[in-house]
Order: sequence, then C-alpha cells, then structure tokens
Amino acid sequence: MRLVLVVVFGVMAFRLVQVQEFGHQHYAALSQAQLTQSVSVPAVRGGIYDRNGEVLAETVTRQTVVADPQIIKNPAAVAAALSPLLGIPADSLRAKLTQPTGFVYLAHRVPDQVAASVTKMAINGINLVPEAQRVVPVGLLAQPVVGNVGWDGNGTSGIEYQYQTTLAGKAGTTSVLTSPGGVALPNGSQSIQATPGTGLELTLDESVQYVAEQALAAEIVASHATGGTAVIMDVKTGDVLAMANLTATKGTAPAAPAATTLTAKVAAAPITSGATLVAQSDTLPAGVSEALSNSAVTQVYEPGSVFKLVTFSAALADSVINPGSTLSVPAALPMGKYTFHDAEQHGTVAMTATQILAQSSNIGTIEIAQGLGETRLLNQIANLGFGKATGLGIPGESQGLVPGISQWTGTSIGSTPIGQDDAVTAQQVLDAYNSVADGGVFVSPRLVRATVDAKGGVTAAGATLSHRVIDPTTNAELTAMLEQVVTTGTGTSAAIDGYTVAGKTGTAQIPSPDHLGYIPGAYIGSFAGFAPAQHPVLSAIVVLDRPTPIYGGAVAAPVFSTIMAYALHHFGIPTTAAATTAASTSAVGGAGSVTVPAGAATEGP
Amino acid sequence: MAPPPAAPAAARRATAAPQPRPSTRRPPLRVFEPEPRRSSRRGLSRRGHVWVGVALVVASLLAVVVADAMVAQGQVRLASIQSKIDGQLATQKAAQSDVAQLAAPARLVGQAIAQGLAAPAQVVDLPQVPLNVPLPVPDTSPLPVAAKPATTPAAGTAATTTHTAPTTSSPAKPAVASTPTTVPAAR
Repeated sequence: MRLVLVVVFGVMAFRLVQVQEFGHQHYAALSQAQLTQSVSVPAVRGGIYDRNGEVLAETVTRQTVVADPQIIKNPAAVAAALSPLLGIPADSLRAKLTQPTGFVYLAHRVPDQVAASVTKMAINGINLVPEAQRVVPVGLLAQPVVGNVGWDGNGTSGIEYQYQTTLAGKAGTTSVLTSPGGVALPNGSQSIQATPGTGLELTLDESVQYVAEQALAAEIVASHATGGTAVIMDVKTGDVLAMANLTATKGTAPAAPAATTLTAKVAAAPITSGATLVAQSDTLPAGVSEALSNSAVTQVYEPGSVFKLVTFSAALADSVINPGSTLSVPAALPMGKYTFHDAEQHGTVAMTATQILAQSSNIGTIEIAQGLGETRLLNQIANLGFGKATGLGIPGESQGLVPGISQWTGTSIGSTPIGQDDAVTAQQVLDAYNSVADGGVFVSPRLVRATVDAKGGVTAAGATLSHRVIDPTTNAELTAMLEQVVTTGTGTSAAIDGYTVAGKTGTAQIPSPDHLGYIPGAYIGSFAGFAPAQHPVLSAIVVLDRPTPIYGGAVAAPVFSTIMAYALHHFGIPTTAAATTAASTSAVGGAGSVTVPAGAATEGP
Repeated sequence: MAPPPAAPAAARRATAAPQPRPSTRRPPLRVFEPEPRRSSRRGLSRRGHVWVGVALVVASLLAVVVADAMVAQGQVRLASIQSKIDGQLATQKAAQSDVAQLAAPARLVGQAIAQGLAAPAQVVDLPQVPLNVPLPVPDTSPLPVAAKPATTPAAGTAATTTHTAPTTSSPAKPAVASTPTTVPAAR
C-alpha cells in the first residue's frame, strides 16, 4: 500500500514539475489565447506621386456598411431604406440581413456622402467600419507603369507590385483581454501601431506623360497601328519623364482582352466601390486604351535601323570609318542564300558614312560591319546595354535576345548590324541613344526618384549607375551624323523648330511566331533620338506596332517631334539659336555664358 | 495582611463583659489588582495613530481611485483626439485626392477646350532682351493718316527666335537672342 502511494505521488509530482516547469509557457499561451482577442490593424498604403508631387495613386479611408442581422428586427424595412442609398436591390439586402450570423458586409467603401446618410439614419444593427481604398485621381494615365492593386490592397502589377513591400507598410494589432464571456475588460487592451507604407515619388512628369499618351494615341489612330510605346528620358540623370504604353482596341487591332474592357468600364464609372477608384478623366481617343503591361520594357521586337547606332559607334571608335569615309554601295548584297537590299532601289553609288547613316543604307552598314568584325560588333551590343536588364526592375521586364557568337549563322554579319536577329525592348534602344546624348556615358534609367514617408518627408533615391561606353571624340562624330539623319535623311519629320535634333529612324519587320521568316506586311516603325543635339537634355523613343505607312520616319518621327517639342518647352530648355547666340554674346560682352541647364529636366517650372 | 493591634489592659477590664468571640473565619481574601496607572496622553496618542493610519489608508485608496479615474479620463481624451486626428487625416487625404482629380491634365485640357481655348499650332519664342543692350526707342511720331497700322504676324505662322518690334524706328539694332522664355504648349 505504501508503495502504491509513493508511486502515485511520484507520478503526480512528475506531472506537476512537467506542467509547471517545462510546459508553463505553452499553457500560459493557451490561457492568453483564450482570454485575448487580437484584431489586425491594416497599415495605410503609401501613395505614388509624379516628380512634382502630383498624386498618381493614393489610399484613402472609406466607410464600409456592415450589419448585425441578429439585432435587426425588421430586415425588410431596413433593406428598403438602404437600397436606394447603397444602390443595391432590396431583395439582395434583405437576403443578407436575414442570414443567421452576427456580421455581414452590405457595401464596401461607400462614398462619404453615402456614409453620412447611413449614419444619419441611425438604424440599430447597421454600422460603418473604415476600409482603405486605392484612388487613382488622374484616371488611367500611366496605368501600365503605376499598376494596380487587388481587393486585398496588395499590388498586382507595375510599380504597385514591384514596390509592394515599401508601399504596404506593416500592419499593427490590437489585443483586448476579455472575460470568459467575451466581454472586453477595461484597461486590458494593448496596441501595436501599424506602420504606414512609404510613398514613392516617380520620375514621371504628369504633363509630359499626358502629352506623350495623347500624341501617341493620335498617331495610333491615324496610322491604324495596333499599339505603340513612347518613352522620354532625362539625359543626365536617366529619369524616365514619360512612359506611354497604348494599344488599339478596334479596327485593325486585335480585340481587347477582358481585363482591358473591365478597366475601361471602371474608368467610365464615376465611383467604384472596388479596390481601386479610378477617376473619370481618361480622354484617350476612341479605339485606343492603355496597354495591359509596360510594353516599353516587357515587349521585345527587332529594332531595325535604329540599331545601326551600334554598328556605327563601334566602327567610328575602331577607326574603321570616319564620318567622311566613302564607300561603294551596290544595289544588292548577296550573303549566303539571302540577298540584302536597301529600302530604296539604286544602282551602285558612292556614299559617305554619314550619308549611309542618314539614308539608312542597309548595304552600306553591312559593309562597315564586315570591316568591323563580328566580335567587336557583339562587344558593342553588350556595351550599349542590349541583352541585359535595364535596371528598372519592372516585373516582367525582358532582357531581350542577343544571339551569342556561337549562335551566329553565315548571314548574321549581314542581319545583326542592321537590326535584325536581335530582339530588344524600347527602353534598351533609348538607353543606347541616351548614352550618345550623354557624351558617351551610359546612364541606367530610373522610375523612382524618392521615397515619401508618412509625414511627407522626402528622401531622394540614390543616383543611378553610369559608365562610359563611347569615347568623347567618337561620340561627337556620331552625334553630328545622327543630326544629319534629321536634317537631310530619313528622319526629317522629327525636326523641332528652334532646336537641333539628332536621332535615327527604324523600320523593322515582325518575325513570324509560326515559321522562319517574317509576317508579310507587318512592320514596326520607330524613331529614337535626343535634343538639343549640341547640348542634349532629353532623349526619347517612339515605337509604333504595325502602322500604315510602315516607315518609322513617317509615323514615329512626327510623334517624337511633338512630344519632344512639348517637353523642351515644358522644362524651359533654351532654343539652340538662343543658346548659341547667348554664348557668343557672352564671349564678346563678357557676360555670363548661357548653357543648357544640365538638370533642367529635373526641375520643373 | 497584618493582624489588628492589641487593646490596652484598662480597657480590657472595663470591658470584661464577655464578648462574642470573634469569628475565626477570616474574610475571604480578595486580590486587588493594582490600579493601572492612567496615562491619558498615551491613550490618546495610540488612538490618534490608529485614526491617522486608517485615514491614510482611506486617503491612499481614494488617491489611487482618483488617479486611476484621471488616467482613464486621459486615455479616453487621448483616444478621442486620436480619433479626431485620424478623421482629419482621412479628410485631408480625400481632399488631396479630389484636388489631384480636379488638376488632372485630361480634365484641365477638357475645361480649356470647353472655354474655347485651343492648342497653338506652333510655339513662338519671345525675343530675349539683354540687359546690356539699350532698348530701341519707340516711335512716337504720329502715323500718316493714310498709313495702315503696323500688322503683327499671324499667330502660328512662324516659330521665330528673333524678331523686331513692328513699330520700332531703329531697325539697325542687331537682332537679339531669344530667351528661354517660352510659351508652353498645350497640356
């Protein structure tokens, strides 16, 4: 008997030690869980602003109408009273109000005036709870860049997705000690404050973005293109000032995907109770809408003649040519089983290197590339940023496709120098031209120039990386040659009154996805360049998908001119004549010289 | 207890009459407690201490209750102010959003067009006037009766970086450089 008692008490002692010493934390946590109710407090999502602080997307607090059906005595009457206010059929409301639950949502994120009316009605069992809503006051402007948020308030595309962690902040919690009956105990609450999300100040300029989209949309309509992209950039800083991505939604364009249609409907509605409230201010022409993705960095295409910049920069640097070098350009150039032609038929003619570039001679360019060699050409392709991510980090960004030396065929030395075989993004092409504009220094582009904390404090982002890719002498020669493209060559439509412009046109066929070769009659017209040519401040590219006429000089160059002219005036860039005259006047009169403000593009008027 | 003292002899004789023998029973002895020394001062002091202690305890409890009430009141006030701040911040955000919506480029352009404004076909740069070059003297002589007034170039016909004032009388002045001053294009 004594032994039994010893064993029993021993077991009890063991269990006591086990519970009190080794398991006390576990049981304390269980107790705490039973007595504590924790409520997550969502953080306010940071806003997205343009470079001048204009709101592109912002989170505001709206009221959501909820009900406790167990309290409501007369669901039919309450439903009838709320129906016209909430815009929900009375039957639907009554069905919700008769559910066997103590909580039901009636309407999410109602407008302030509706919330005020609901409050005024003071219906027992009908309450309002705050809920965050993303508001886009500028309509669908730059929507492919800024992106969207979902119902849960998390970014689903664009900057909203890319910077989700930064924008979202950190949710807080409120823990309330309750009695076993579930009644909150006084002084028993503990709160961990939510940390608001950090806002982003983009490099985009709202006005330039608007003009870019309008000009591009007008050309899409006029040329019956299926879509287009326009990007404008600050030469020195790499700030992307506008990034327009549009798509045609009727006519020759493919049918718009369902999501686009939905977005358009949302935009047309004055108020949306969804996750995002889009203002009704989208005025794109009929048949054109914002693209689903940021095509400037996600969509690749064969660049065509704008790629000749690579060939000429390398050839000038290696002294294969100089701007005045004369070459004999035949009517056609057979290579393997292919024969290369120029866009315009001609006999064998003597052309200078500058003329070859200005007239965009394929054969002349191939001859120069043959003198350059494939290795040097590939090195220059890599130097100018092709085949690599741009550094923008946009979700879905493509690095492009640049075949290595092992993938070259017998005709690659003919096709690659004139912009065939390679697949590039519009932003990559612009980066290359921006390098020439920046005196031969490659500057990584950027879309975010600062972060904005909850109190409005702005912290500038770090400067982008830069490195020299073209020596200054070569760059000066190349700039002069590119200027000739606009003054006497294929890109005269890109000219801007009062400013010198340098750039290059491109007209490229679209490869067939089904078979080797190209889609008959399908072209991409583009123009890339910068201005003022002598003191470049802004660079830009315009790409049109399947336009009519097909030539970049005819469809893309005028859009470039429109956008660039507006931007130059918008940022107060002196005309070329003014800068030149003022400089000469200062040399004579001893006054301070007038130079093109290097940072003009970063300082809005 | 000490026995009573013996009487003198004469007295014993005069009183020869027999007297009842005193009872041999001794009165019951009683124990007398020594009367406590009454110290009213000490008594009062002790009672006072008790009362003071009780009062202190009560006062402390009261103070704690009052302090707790004040803290609770402060918390309620703080929560109320915080709620007001949140409300005002929400209002400010909503107002900021409304302003952004009203200032959206598309709306501005729409309003401008509605009011009859039109985008210029071309942007004309105004001429720069250097400070070290004297301005041309305006021609103040009366115009001939038959003469037509000086015409200004039609808007949008030329984009010039230099121009001469139409009424100036000193055409020999060198053309001056244009300035960064520009007429912004339509938004």
